[in-house]
Amino acid sequence: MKKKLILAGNTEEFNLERIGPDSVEIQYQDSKVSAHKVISGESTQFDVININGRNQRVKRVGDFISIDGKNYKVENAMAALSKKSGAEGNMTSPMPGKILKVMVSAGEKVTSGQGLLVMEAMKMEHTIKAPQDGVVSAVHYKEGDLVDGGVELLEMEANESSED
Amino acid sequence: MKNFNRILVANRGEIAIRVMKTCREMGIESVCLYTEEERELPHSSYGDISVALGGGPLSETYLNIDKLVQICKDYKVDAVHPGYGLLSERAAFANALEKAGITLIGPPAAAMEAMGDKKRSKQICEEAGIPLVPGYHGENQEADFLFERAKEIGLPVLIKASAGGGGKGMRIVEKEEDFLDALGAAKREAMNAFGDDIVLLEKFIVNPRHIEVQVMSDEHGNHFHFFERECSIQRRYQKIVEESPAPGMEDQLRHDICAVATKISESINYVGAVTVEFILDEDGSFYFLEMNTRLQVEHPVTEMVTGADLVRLQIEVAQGKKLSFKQSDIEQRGHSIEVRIYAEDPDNDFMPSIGKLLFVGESQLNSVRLDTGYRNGNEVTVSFDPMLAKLIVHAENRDHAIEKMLQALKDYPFLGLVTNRDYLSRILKSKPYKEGPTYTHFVKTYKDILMPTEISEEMKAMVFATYQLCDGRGAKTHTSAPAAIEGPWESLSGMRNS
Repeated sequence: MKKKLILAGNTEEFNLERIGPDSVEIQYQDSKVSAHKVISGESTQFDVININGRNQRVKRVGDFISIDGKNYKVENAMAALSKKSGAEGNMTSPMPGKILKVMVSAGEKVTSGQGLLVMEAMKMEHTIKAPQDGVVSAVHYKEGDLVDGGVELLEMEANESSED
Repeated sequence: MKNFNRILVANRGEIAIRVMKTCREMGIESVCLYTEEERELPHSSYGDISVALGGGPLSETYLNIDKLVQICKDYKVDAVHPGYGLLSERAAFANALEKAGITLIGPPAAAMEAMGDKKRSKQICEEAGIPLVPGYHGENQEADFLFERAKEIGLPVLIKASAGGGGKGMRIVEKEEDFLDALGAAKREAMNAFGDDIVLLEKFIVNPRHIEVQVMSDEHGNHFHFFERECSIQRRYQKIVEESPAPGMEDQLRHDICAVATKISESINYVGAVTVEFILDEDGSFYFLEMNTRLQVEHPVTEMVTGADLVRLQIEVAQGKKLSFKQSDIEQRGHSIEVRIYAEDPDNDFMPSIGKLLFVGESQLNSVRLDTGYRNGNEVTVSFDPMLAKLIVHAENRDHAIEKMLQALKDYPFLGLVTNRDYLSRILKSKPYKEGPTYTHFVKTYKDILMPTEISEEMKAMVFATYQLCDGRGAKTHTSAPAAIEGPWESLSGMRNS
């Protein structure tokens, strides 16, 4: 069965074979792994999964996975798409702070990576950039405004050509 | 000699818990504090008695001296441990407690005032013959005069605006023929930036190491050192990796630097725990930097190598007890490393991160210690320092300690928000760290080799397998935690009003 997951922001496709209730085979590009669950830990403990014959202590909580010393964010591609519901990109404030500078206005054409707004949070500047080419449809804040974390700062619509 | 039945811990997070652990081990009751937004954090209920500080800015809570003194009276507290930061170095707090007849587990107010002020502490050291970074801090600003001073200090020399900060009005001069031009430029910059062109000169240390010595003193004239800690790995002037002993340090140098630290403590008749910080140059000369009259964040590495409980010693010394051992009884055994796990993104200019902490993790390795103020389900906000935890290991030598730390780091994912965990692993795995010595510019110098590596194809497949096999409903703890401790708080606030 073909599956799509978003890992570290990139949509990845792999083949999933369910061998049993606690056993899977994953084919991703040239890598194939067989994995089965050995122990389901308590909420404060790791789970143990045997991957290609080796026991790995892993943990998954929601979209977050820890394996072999590193953490990964994994999102279901379909769920992520419906969450966005037509609005492209993530232009929310990373944390509470103050708007230092607004470089664009509604109706303006922008290119991917272009700086749209600068905010200050915890004494550091953070630039909100356009996730893709498109047109700014709304700017919700002005310079000097205080904002909470996770609020939408601007809205933009993608160029039709860049949609797949 | 005083007897303590109950200690108030005037702090929060990991250090409050750290202090309360020792109180428990000594059979002393502890009073812990928490604010409105800290109800779910473990320190709020770690002590025997929880007292609510209410909400609002720090000045209304942890920094409100009147409020804290009143709590001490209400709860019949014998002594206060201030931890680090907050009120730990405020002479006004020490004075207020003294007036109320409550013992501060810390130095007398006078010592705090003397050593807390950088200028005065340097003066005291100068008088005691303690080496300071060679420099000229005087009023004579004539170019030729300053040039002569620079030659005396020896090049390279640093020209710094007296009123300065942020690198403005600052020049490093390596060659004599460049001095006068650099001086002119520094003075112009200083005038433009600060409206004052007075500059000072200081020896520029090309490859500095940050070495500090732990000292403990009692009322009976004993001043013992607990050897050194190396804290050269820093980002934005904050330590992130600390260890003891300092890698590759010769015994003679260790002896000398520790003797100087003890001498400073003696010269001011200090009582309690103190850390003396030095800058160590490549040629083995070291200079006094500053003195911290409190427990330091990185004290656990000293505890690991000496076997001492520094908080217990602080409490005993505050009770008026005599340190019951000799300097020669204190030994450095093996090697200890501490890393600070921060909620921040090292690959994005160490930008602080926030979010819900879903899974702290657990280690079952020997001689591994995690000092943290968080548990699963806690919200990490911008209100406090982004340090999530300190992870400390002990092993028989440095190589073993590095390997153990790399394994221990795997046991603490701090899942749910961006952390510097992988970055810390990259530092410990790097060749310059393993080989040592490390200098304070480590993070900047080795920026390129500390970059993250790409996720391998196989690792991606393993991540997908984990995603498919685990349901992700791991963090159930936060649903039960608040309900379980809500009761005692309410009954406590009732107790306070009655």
